[in-house]
Amino acid sequence: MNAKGNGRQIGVYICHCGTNIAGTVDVKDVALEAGKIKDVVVARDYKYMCSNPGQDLIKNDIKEKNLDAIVVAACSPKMHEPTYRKVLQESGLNPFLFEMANIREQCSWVHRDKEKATEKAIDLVKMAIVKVRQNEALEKIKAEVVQRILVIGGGIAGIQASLDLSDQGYEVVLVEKEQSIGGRMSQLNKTFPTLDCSACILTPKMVEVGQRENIILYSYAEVEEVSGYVGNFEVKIRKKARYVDEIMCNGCGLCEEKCPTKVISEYEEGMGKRKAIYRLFPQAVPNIPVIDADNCLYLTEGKCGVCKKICTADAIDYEQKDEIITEKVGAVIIATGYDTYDAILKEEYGYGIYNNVITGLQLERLIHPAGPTKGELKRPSDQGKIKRIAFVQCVGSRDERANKYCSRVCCMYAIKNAILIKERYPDIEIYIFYIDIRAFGKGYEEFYKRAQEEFGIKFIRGRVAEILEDPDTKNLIIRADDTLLNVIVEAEVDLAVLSVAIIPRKDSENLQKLFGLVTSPDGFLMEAHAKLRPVDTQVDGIFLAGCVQGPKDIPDTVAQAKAAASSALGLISKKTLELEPIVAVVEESLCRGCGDCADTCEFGAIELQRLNARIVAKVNKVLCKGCGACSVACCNGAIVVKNFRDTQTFEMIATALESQMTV
Amino acid sequence: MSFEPKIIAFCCNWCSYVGADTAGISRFEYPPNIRIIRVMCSGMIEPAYVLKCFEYGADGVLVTGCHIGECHYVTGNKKAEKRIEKTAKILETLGINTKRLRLEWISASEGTKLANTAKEFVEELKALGPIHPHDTHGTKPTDVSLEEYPRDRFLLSSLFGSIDTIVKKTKVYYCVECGKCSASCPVTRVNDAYSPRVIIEKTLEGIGLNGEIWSCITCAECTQHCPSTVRYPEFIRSFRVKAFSSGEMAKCSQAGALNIISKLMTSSIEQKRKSWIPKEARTGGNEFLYFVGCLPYFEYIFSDFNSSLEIAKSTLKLLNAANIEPKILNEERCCGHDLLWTGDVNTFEKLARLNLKAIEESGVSTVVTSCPECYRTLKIDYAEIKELKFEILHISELIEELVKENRINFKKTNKKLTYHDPCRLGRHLGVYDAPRNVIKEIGELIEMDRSKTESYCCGVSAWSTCDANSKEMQISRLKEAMETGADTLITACPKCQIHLRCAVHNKIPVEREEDSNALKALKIKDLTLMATEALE
Repeated sequence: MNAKGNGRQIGVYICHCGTNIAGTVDVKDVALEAGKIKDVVVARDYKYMCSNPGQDLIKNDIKEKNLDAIVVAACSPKMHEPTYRKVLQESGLNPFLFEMANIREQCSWVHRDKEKATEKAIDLVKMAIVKVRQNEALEKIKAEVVQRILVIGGGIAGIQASLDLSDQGYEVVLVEKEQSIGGRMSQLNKTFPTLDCSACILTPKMVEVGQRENIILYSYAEVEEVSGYVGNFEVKIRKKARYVDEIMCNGCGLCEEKCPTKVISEYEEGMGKRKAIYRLFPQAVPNIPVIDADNCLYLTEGKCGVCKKICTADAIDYEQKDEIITEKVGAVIIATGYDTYDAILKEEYGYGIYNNVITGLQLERLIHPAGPTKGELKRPSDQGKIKRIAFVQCVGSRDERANKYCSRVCCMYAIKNAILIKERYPDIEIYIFYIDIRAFGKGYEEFYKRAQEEFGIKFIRGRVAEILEDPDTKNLIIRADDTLLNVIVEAEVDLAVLSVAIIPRKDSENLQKLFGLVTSPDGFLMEAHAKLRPVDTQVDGIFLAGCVQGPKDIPDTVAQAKAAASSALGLISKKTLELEPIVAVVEESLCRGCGDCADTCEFGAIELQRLNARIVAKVNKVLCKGCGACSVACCNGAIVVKNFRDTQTFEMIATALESQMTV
Repeated sequence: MSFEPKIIAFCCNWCSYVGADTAGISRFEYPPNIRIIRVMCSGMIEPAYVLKCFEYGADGVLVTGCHIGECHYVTGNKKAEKRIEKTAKILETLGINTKRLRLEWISASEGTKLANTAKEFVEELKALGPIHPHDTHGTKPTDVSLEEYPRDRFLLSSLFGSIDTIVKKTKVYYCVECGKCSASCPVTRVNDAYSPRVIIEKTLEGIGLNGEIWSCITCAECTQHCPSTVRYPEFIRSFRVKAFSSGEMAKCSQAGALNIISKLMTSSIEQKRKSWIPKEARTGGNEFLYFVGCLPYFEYIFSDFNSSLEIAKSTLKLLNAANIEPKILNEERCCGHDLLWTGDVNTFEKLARLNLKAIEESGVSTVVTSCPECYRTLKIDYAEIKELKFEILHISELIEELVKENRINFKKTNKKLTYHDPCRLGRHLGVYDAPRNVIKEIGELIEMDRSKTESYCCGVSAWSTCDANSKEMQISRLKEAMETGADTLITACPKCQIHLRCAVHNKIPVEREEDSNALKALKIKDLTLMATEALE
């Protein structure tokens, strides 16, 4: 192929995108200039190139003018490249004989000077033209699909996704970090706005997960390694030693009862205690305890051994080791949930200093019938009676110093807990200090109104400035500016509940790296498109569900879990899969067989093979991701990425610089 | 009009390109000086891409990728980081301010960072001014004006002439179709589809040549055997000029980085090519000029398995040992050999004239080169542009002379050494004995079967014939050296050294593991290095 082109018949289409492009770029001029370039047979502009009439315009030209390569100058290829590739395909042209010039996101939206923006657009179009000249027709690569799925995280999102996939008859591997599934929802008392008991609606689903034959549940386990590609992932799962034989244990709970060691319970958010051998909660699935190796007397000091002695099922195994399990799956749903904001960081609220300042999640445990106080609301400092409570909203959210985003659920969970308290203790006075009440969901605004009208909960619009403690009474003084009444409020309360924000899990960074995902500025894992691909990620075959993608309430989490399950199903329900054909290819006559390419490849996609007396590199098209690291490692260009050849890049560079930029 | 810098930005498909989209979606305005090229990963950016941008007159190059640890391809950005570091060193040597090359990690969400980087970079480049000191914008740095010289000599007339002229000047008419050329051609040995004889016949019959002109390694083995003294290498060279002028390009290794570097040296940008000179070295005399060639650039390009500056340093040491304090010119440029032999005769001519001017102005009477390619280019090709007012020596010739005059002495060892004749030094210029005489002063010389006029090639010339065939030639040559029982293979060409070392730096296509180990164990050393080590 000659660097100057091979006599292609190129059609160039400039989109106005309404005024999005045409408002800044002189699209007529761009089309005019494009039309002057060698091999360009037709250059047109149109109001909305992606609309049906726009697409038809291209289709007609392909037929009538015998076009064999297309350039569309419009929005980002991230937006509409698939749309136009389809147009080519439907017109009988190979979809890879196509390039997009990004003249919206990277031109008209970032520049104001019309003349300069037009000049840049012309350059970008020319660059796309010289690139498409050398594009090869490529065929999608077919790969077998492992028709199973991995769900990471056994909270409500992971549970729902697993059940949906299992319903469709596909095998699910569910990996839960904790010893039981259930997640954050299992910690909650009741749920807004219907006030269903969280356990009542969650437990049946958990039990079902445990019973389904096509759900393989690894609890107390973490994904450690991931390899492969969409349709064919191989994951290594570390099943941590729980020191209890899962087959032998019958879940009688005797060991837990007799264990002499008491430890502060993480599950109870530090409000209660657990044993060194313990289950998170009585309805745990699997109903098998775990020995906390850091606190068990036998495992730390070789003493005690009570659990082993009294276990009738002989299930205690102090010698148990971590186990690495390899599973093959076709797709992955990440549903690892969230952490809550560490309120200690807001020093002015005295969390961690004053006992009577607690977080929303701690309150959930305090009023939970199965919580440390069996649902009895007492002052943490003295177990005394509570007369007044203040809820402090937006702790760690909507805050430039912490997280800018709205955590979405805090308004509702504060109102919900306030109502629950009012139902049981009508005499307690409740203040909710807020900036805005965001009651966005179905029935939420009504719920908010009920809180005000039916339960007399007082909503004070003002961000709490500080919380002080009266050292004698341990009462708390809440100081805020009531911005509606324009008065400084000082309320004395027995308990302050900080509505802490939902934040990304600390360990989600590991998953992000493991799967090569990206995060949004807020630190949550990023979806492929905020509106149109909300559960997909940039990595094919990896989907997101629940709060790992951003703060969500239960209905939204469940909806997203179902969406992720359905998207994943679309992938694994096929026996074969089509992969992007932008992969590396070896020119055997050039290959010197040194193996530098194979050494640099992160995906094991290149193998050296004997070819008569020589060694040559060979690319596994399915494993290759087209990153091009090999092409740079290769000293003489014997391995190149299709449609990203050096000659194409050089032509683009030359084209970009040939015009006298008058910017 | 104020100066507006031109910037090429490389953005990776996964993070920074999306970051640029995010800037658009958020309407973060930035200057329109930037043209974005989408790549799959920052790890696919060749140093040659960056160099190419500067060759075509970019004022700045922005390379962007995902944050470290967030690469979609695990470590692509780390690879990019290393390569950009290497590229920056090349730019520095070329005299291009390294601030003009910027590497930034920009995530998909960091639209602000992209916009701010663009703004900052434009401001920074405005402060630096245009890359080429004499223009405000638009002019490619290669467009330097040079006074005209007559083009009536052998080389130039054949290069620019018609096919008839080429045929006449290179004595192709004399061909008797005996086939000795093809039978002796090292390329034909590894690829029997290639035949110098057939190429000559085709030309005489008026059949156009295609890709085959790029396969010749111009080693002159055929010329050596030709009873009709057809100048085949020069014939091929002329055809390459024709092909080049019609847009055809040699497929060069390193994505053509070395040729781009040579082209960039036609600019009036002041290089910084002397920073390698050791503090204790003595330079600046009036008699000798040490023409270092492209060694300061090879140093970075081939850093993975080879040091080229060790040759320059030993050369300087040897000269100093003989009380020669050579001039080393910062105005020196690539001799243009590789461009000439890949068809870019115009750039060659610019380089030649710039070098001739610099050498003449230095007032020296003798020029010494480490590189036989510089040697041939100056001695034969420059001489055709202009009558030379200075003598040219290859370092091996000078050492031989210095030894004879007792100006330097070597400790004789019982080392077994074998010698590989570089084609430019040997067959092109007939220097066979000088390096051998030097070697004999140092150790025992054991000849390979194929030596002197019959010497086998290192496989690559002008960075353009690096392929599976050249590897086979290299391995064959190294095996031959190994079989002599010598422990070191001496070369007198920095490029032969690179090619031979490259052949054994990673996997070697040999049947047996032992052969591979033995080949890797064979030392490959430049004559100057060997001589420096043996200095008394």
